[in-house]
Amino acid sequence: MTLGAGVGERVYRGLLRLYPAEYRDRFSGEMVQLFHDKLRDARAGSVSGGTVRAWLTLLGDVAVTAPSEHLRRNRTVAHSLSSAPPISARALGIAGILAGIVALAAFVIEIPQELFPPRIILMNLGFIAIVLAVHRRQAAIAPKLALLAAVLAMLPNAWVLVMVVLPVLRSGAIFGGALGLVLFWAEVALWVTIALFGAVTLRLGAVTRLGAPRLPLARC
Amino acid sequence: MQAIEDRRDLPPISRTAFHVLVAIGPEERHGYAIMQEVARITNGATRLGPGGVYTTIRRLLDDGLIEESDDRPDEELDDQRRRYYRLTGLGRAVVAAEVARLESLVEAARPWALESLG
Repeated sequence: MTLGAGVGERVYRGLLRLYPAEYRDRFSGEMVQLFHDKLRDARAGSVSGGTVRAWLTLLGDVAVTAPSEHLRRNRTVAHSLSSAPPISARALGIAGILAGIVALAAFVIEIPQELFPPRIILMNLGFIAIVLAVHRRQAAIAPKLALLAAVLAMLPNAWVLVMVVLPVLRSGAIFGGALGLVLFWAEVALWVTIALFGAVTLRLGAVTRLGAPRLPLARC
Repeated sequence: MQAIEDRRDLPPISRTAFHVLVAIGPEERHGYAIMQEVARITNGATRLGPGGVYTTIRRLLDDGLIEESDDRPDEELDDQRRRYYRLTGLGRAVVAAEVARLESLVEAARPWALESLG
């Protein structure tokens, strides 16, 4: 990869467009300068393939930091300065991520019939974890509305969980027949209330406030 | 500056943020110098790219742990486009708190951790 300096800079400037505009406005000039420094040192070095290695490093750097900067643009170093999250918060986060993976997997791969119950159980537990985690933030903004949205989201989740877990424990199969219809409506209620919970979250702006814990340092 | 006086008030910082703060140290450094210094003080174990350096710098600036220096080096000695960064009082206090925390950990581990190395 022996791009000329001008072409290389154009390529790198193109890659910088992956960063948020505000960040780019602030640092792109310096980053391009640093890009030149790094490539100059790589060319001057005695290691063979130094330029290629420098380019790979730069590409990896952009691939990792550009998405993280999009996620963090409303966040500050408070995240690294704040105390580690408690175990309960970590557990809720892991459960939520697991539920997300399971939900996505249902659309992407064909899941064997016998894995349906554990998939539904994992999704329900994940939904509950997400509701609990987000509710903490919502409650600080609008306690009554947050409580209403959380309860509405939790009830159908619990309803579906009971309807899936009990028959699996007894006979290894999910309810069929008339009870299957009840399960169907429970799942409809679940998705509607989850959507409602999402709408309340957006309305309260709780998600964007997730990353705004004030520092104890601010007292200085 | 109550929090600086009581270092226990200062929570831990991320490893990368600490590396950048230590790399800047008592001097004023630009991005590339910070990148090189981080590689040097970590014996090459941590090599930041431009994105790694400036995402960390942005957060440190936003939280007041570093600031941009108004002074520019001599035009003949350095590129005028470079921006230089230095620690603020708060940044120094955070580094001091982190050093104290690490020292405490090292003291706790030293009696037994090095035995395995002979």
